[in-house]
Amino acid sequence: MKILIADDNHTDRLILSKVLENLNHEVVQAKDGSEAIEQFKRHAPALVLLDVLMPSYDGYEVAEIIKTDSSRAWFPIIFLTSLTEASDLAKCISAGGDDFVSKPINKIIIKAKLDAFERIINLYDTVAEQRERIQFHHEHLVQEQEAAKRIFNNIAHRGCLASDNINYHLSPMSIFNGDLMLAAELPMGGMRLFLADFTGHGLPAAIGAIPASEIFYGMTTKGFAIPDMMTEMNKRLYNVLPRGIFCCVIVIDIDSIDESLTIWNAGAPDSFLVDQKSGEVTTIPSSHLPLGIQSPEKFKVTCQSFEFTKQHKIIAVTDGIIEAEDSTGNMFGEQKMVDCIQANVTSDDICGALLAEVNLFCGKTDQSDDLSLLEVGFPSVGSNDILQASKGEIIESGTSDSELSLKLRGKSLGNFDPIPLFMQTILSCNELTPHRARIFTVLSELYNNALDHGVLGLDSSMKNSNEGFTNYYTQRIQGLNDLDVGFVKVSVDHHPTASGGRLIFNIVDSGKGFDVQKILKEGIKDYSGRGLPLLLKLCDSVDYFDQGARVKAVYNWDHNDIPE
Amino acid sequence: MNNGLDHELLSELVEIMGEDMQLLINSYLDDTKEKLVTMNQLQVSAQQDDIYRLAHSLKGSSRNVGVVDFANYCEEIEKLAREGQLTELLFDLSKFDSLFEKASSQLSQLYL
Repeated sequence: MKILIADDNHTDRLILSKVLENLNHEVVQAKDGSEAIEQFKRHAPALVLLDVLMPSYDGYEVAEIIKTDSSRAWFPIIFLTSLTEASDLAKCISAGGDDFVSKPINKIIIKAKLDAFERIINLYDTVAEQRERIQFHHEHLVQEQEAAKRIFNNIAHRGCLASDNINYHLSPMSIFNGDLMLAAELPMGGMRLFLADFTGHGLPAAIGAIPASEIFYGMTTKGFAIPDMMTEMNKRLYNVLPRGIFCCVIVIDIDSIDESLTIWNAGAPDSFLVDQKSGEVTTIPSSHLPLGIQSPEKFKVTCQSFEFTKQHKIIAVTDGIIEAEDSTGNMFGEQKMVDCIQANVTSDDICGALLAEVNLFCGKTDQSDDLSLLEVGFPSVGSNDILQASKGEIIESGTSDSELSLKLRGKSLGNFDPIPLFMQTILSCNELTPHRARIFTVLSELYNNALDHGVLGLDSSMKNSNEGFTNYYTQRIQGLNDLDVGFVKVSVDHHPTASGGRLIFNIVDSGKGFDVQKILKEGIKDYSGRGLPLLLKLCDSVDYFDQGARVKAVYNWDHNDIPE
Repeated sequence: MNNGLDHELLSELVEIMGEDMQLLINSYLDDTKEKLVTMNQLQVSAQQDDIYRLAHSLKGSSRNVGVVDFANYCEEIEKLAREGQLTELLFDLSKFDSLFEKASSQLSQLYL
């Protein structure tokens, strides 16, 4: 160690230096107080031996001055004193000294004290070094989190969460609580909402958000149904997430044409379907294990469907709200949540009411950082912005002159959704991008009519009542499960024309057909009559053949006529 | 055996200082002579605090080199001066000189 000896007595300094040098220490000497301060600044010794009585500044004063030098790491001061009065010795410590040794110097005692202090100095150095390292890592972590947050926000952007029909609460750092909330418009109108809660906190919880969002946006735009999207998401998360991390999700499709809601709750708290007119609150509990647990072979998605109109709202939450604690550790719980929803059934902002209630419950302990709340009403007309037409030169690209046909039989009808395949193929003709929503609507209406009413023989008038609505979807799922004969053949023919193109849809099914004229007369409301009025509005012609078992629809498009 | 010196301590010092023992003794003797000159010039009535400091310093350095009798007398003076009870009568400068002379010749004989 480098040691400063301050003593006005030459012989004392001589002896002490010699003792210390014999112990392999480096010695700096000072013959009075002011020299001691000067030498201390110049040499930054690890330890200081101070005589009490010295000219200029005495030992006490020197101790006080050098101890206040904040630029220095901790160092011990040992007073050298021939004073024996208890009060004099106590003053050594109160002046900032750490110990004292009496004169004349005993080399054994000096050695013991130096050894002891060397250990303490090492300890302080270690602590300081570790603190520096911790601080470095902490700053690094904060920087990384900020960067990660920006990356996550780019990838897991919130989509159309800002729409008028949505109220939500989500902390800016929610991604590090493992919460993810996404919304996207469905190609055929309406919206898909997604609320996920990955187990754990921090980066491990956030990591799954990337594949989940990519799949969400990618597959939603291409028109994949919830079961297909969730199967894909589970497959990816199952492969990607470490053991012990999984993902509770609620995924909701609101079909604004059909005025229906399809929901799948896997491991999340109950969702609530609120009828603002009747005041009825329907609980939608989890019906599946969270994502990332089941192997793709065992994974199966069965959604629930409900009527959903302008008088309905759907509320989804993560467990943060249920587990919110007051100052004594009591949890907010499910009952309080249900009560609050019921008390605010007609409110425009049930989400806000819930949040206020939780904050009131928690008192000073604000836990809104951990809460994710989503409240969705019926999408207002026109909120479904159609993609901007690509500007520039008219180039006939991709599949502008093509025909694609596919025949699905038996079990494949229940297992495979051909719409995304057709959409992807049709839309590789870039000029059709602005027509995406219309084409999707036409194709899915035609296909679903063929499958539901043709092959499965379901009666669309069932959907006129609330109860029938649920029945309809139950029967549909049952029917698809039991299906082993029957077929639907879809073919799409795309021809270029002078100023655009013509899409000809031909759909044939194995069903027994129907009375076309009767349906056309009755089918006034959107949700019955097989959506025929809508099809007629979108297409240039819709014609039925073979008693309704074959339908041909023609959709003309024009470069100069971009749909709104 | 005493002669006013602590021989045990001195032999330990020889061990510590090695070749520098001579330097140490010379330094002690020069330093002490100088301080005794100063001591002779101090006024008992007006400079008790200075006497206290000087006596304290002399005591310390003398103890370090085992000059016991001289150190003990320094301590007596130091205590009286500290408490402000030193008088002309008690402040015996010749005793300083004689005790130092005695130790000085012994040390010179032994180590120089």
